[in-house]
Amino acid sequence: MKNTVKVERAKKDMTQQDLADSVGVSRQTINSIESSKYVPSTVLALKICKVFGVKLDEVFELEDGD
Amino acid sequence: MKNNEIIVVPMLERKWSKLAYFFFPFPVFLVIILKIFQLSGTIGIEISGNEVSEIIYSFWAIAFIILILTKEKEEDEMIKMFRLQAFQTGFYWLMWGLGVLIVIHFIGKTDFTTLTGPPISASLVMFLLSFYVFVAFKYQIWKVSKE
Repeated sequence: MKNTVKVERAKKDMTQQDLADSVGVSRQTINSIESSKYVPSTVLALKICKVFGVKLDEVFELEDGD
Repeated sequence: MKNNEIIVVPMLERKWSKLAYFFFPFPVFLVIILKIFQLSGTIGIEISGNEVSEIIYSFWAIAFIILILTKEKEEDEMIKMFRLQAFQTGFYWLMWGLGVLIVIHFIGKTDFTTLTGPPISASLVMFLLSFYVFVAFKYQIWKVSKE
């Protein structure tokens, strides 16, 4: 699954730690999501989008093979 | 969706990991002390190779179980998912490993070979399972921490 978490985070001028604190996970989890090493749960994905103020499909996108 | 309490796995606080690290060298020293007592005849103790193995497997199994059930610095959904996957992967590796041992034991019971394997005991199984789960868990964490 592709995502634009890093781009959205940069738009909001947030660090990974800031975003992690906002959604209640570790900075390592945010980093793993951004590098596509970890696929977040629906709840976490929705929390992230809520912080950015965008829709889910504007940040997360299915890839071929998903 | 909330789980019933009966299927919730309780996690230990991080201070418990110190006890786990103590359990790694402890059985080695214990076996050495018992062997010294045996050789000196101070106390009438007979300790064989299998018993040494059982002692070490038991304590190391307890140590790894404590480490598996100890919370990480930050317990979030990714860590919980990794732990869940680790239990699944560890059990899968255990199935194969024990399967090989069972085949070796079965072949060893025939008249065609003198092949034997280590006795399959509860402490050996617990040690192998807890070790595999621990390795699978730490491997996942290591993979995502490579930046």
